[in-house]
Amino acid sequence: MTDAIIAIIADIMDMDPTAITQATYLVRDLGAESIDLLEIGVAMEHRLGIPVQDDALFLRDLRLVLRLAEETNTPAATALASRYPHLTSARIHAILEDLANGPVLQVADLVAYATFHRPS
Amino acid sequence: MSLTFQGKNVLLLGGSCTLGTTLIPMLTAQGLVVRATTTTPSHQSHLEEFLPPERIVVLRLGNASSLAAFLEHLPPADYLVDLAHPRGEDLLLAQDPTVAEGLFLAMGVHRLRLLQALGRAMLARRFGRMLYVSSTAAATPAPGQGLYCALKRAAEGMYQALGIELAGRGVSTVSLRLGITDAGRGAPFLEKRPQLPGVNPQDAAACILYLLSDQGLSFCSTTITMDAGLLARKYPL
Repeated sequence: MTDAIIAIIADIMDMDPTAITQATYLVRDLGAESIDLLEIGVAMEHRLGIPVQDDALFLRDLRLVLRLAEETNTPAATALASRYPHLTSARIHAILEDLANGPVLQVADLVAYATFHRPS
Repeated sequence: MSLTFQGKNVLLLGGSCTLGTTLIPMLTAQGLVVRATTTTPSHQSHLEEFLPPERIVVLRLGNASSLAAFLEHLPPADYLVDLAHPRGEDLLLAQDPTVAEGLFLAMGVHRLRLLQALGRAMLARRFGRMLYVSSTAAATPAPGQGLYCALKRAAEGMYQALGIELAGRGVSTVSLRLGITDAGRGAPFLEKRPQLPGVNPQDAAACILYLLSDQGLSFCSTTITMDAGLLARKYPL
């Protein structure tokens, strides 16, 4: 699954797949724009058969989820785990520590989503 | 001029109208595979004069379950010709809110869902062409066409925005505002007002064919008018 997703990203971002790892940040490192993310999601749907919900796949509503959690006194990690069940607890804590550095989406998050939502 | 088409499959949304059935043989003559939706079984049997039954689907855009069933088995489409339009006219202040709600749902929200599904499939193939057949009423509504005008402009806006967002990835859009067409509801209207310029459905269909072709792809994210000069006059005829 990792190789397939890296191949999709490399194809759409027009770059060498060997330059992409699970730790690569899509926006921070690759400069992916919203249209690139849309196309990556569409390719995951059509090439890999993964049902895609863009907001969840690309953690697009992450800051909204955190704001709502704050307003309802819900622990941030609990709110994120509920919204993004494909992410591990360790990854959620890493995201929370990484927020100040910019968009947190990594290739590993796409792989986790695809693995979690892969049709049985 | 000979036209070329890099795609193969055409979907006519609301294809049983005169414009749709005029367009079908033109598309077929270009080697394109045409599928069409229609709203009722009676329109379906009319369409069967032009298309084999397996290429006709009943789709009621205002009905959520009909739309869901259609999206479940989305036909292949490199080209979309959107002929779906709202029916019924009333003064805005007299408009039944329930009817208005249903029309906005069908022509706004459900149309968007359809465009999302078709657009994503086109994006996956990096080619697609979407053409929306609008109306001069979007620019200059007559009294009683307020809702019709608003819905047409909303659809034009969606098509324009889709083209802006996707043209760089091979999916382009265009809207065609037709004047009074000498077919359907337009025919008796023109018959009573012979001084008004009408648009022949054959000419409109030929224009659509061109706009779908590779040669017409540079008409992108824009709205063009084909009204035989109806709106060009300072004073109405």
